Amino acid sequence: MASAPENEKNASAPEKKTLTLKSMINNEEFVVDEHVALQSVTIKNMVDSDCAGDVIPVPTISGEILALVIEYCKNHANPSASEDDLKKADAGIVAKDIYTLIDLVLAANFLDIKGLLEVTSQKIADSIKDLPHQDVREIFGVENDYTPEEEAAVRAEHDWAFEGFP
Amino acid sequence: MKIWCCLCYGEEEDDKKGTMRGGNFQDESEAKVGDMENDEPERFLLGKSTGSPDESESQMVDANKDLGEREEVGGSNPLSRDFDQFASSSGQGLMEEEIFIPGEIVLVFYYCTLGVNADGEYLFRDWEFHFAAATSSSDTNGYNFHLTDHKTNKCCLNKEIFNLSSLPNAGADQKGLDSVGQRDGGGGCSVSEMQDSVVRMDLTDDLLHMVFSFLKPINLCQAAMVCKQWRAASAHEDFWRGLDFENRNISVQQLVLIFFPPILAHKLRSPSSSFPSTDSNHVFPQCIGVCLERIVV
Repeated sequence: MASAPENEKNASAPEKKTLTLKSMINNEEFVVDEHVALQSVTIKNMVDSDCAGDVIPVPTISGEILALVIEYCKNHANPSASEDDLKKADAGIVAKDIYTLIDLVLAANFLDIKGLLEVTSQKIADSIKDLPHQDVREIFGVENDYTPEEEAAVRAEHDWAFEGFP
Repeated sequence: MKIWCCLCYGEEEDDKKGTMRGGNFQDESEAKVGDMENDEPERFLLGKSTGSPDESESQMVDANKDLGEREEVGGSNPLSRDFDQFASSSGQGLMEEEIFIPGEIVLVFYYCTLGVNADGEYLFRDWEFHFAAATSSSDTNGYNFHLTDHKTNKCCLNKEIFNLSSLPNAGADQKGLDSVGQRDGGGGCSVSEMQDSVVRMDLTDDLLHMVFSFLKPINLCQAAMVCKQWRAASAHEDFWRGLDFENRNISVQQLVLIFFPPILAHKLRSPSSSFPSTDSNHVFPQCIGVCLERIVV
């Protein structure tokens, strides 16, 4: 059941209170210091209201994404980290493909981690802003619910924004 | 019957690009009606509502007198005629809500610019709207005259008339506008989306808002093409407070379109409704000066 990533923290900080986060997607478990996990407002609320057991199940977030979230939380829980370091670390975390970013932003939203939500949203915005809307629809799995007439009208409304745009 | 409403706005001279100060609509409309009844050319005095004493006031008045004279010379100018009709038939500035029919609205948009100051800042003096509900298409066509721009040394007074029914979203696409107006009512499905992790999830409205907050207006317009949810999210007023149309070919008409969906969504409830002087969220007062800087040459 327990997988590799849990060991390091258990060994290095046995005196600190730890929480185990478990992805319900692939049952991966992550043991993290409580103060790291508490950057998630969702988890903090669970702990504060005493409804968190030894293992906190995290629905809908895969182990891969949860690892990124925990990496972010660890970085930002480190009081000695400089702002520059954090920026670099954040950039590294969000240097992923758009699909990972969407999962990450949903995870950040679910766990209510404001900083991660912002950097991920920024990255997504940067990623989609130069894409044709057909590609954006595909990426986000959004259906085109405009009629051709409506689509033309929306485009005409803003045609100044489409100079040199497909 | 013609219905008019008048909204006047002024800007403090020392607050050139800042928040605009709305005139008191009630007083203003009464004053306007009074002017109309007297058939004074000064009814178009844009500067009256501001009451801000400054050196440009005299220029304003000069410019407006000129405009008034031109209106006078026009004689059969349908605008003057309708003002008179309105004044005599109603005797007051407040109209019933149902009289305003989307698609039969004419917007008369006056704007006055004072040029650019030494710091390169744009001096925007005043603007004024009139909404007209035309009862027949021939009357509407009557409004489609265009006064040539009036320019003095530093002041230029312009007038644009828009038949809102000809704008892409007026009338026929009223539903779409309504959905924009009600954009905050959407979403609320985050839980179900969260629980279905296999399927690629839509972003909820909150998340879209977060992502869009990092986009520039031009990207927002492009994002609006994706689907209706995205269009509604991209139209959120938070994103449209300050606009930069530099190096873009944008017409005054498109500019009005950007600002007016919220108005049309409310179906121009009544001339006494809150647009826009008491509606602090409305985009127009915040950025009109910036926009006009780009498009008024």
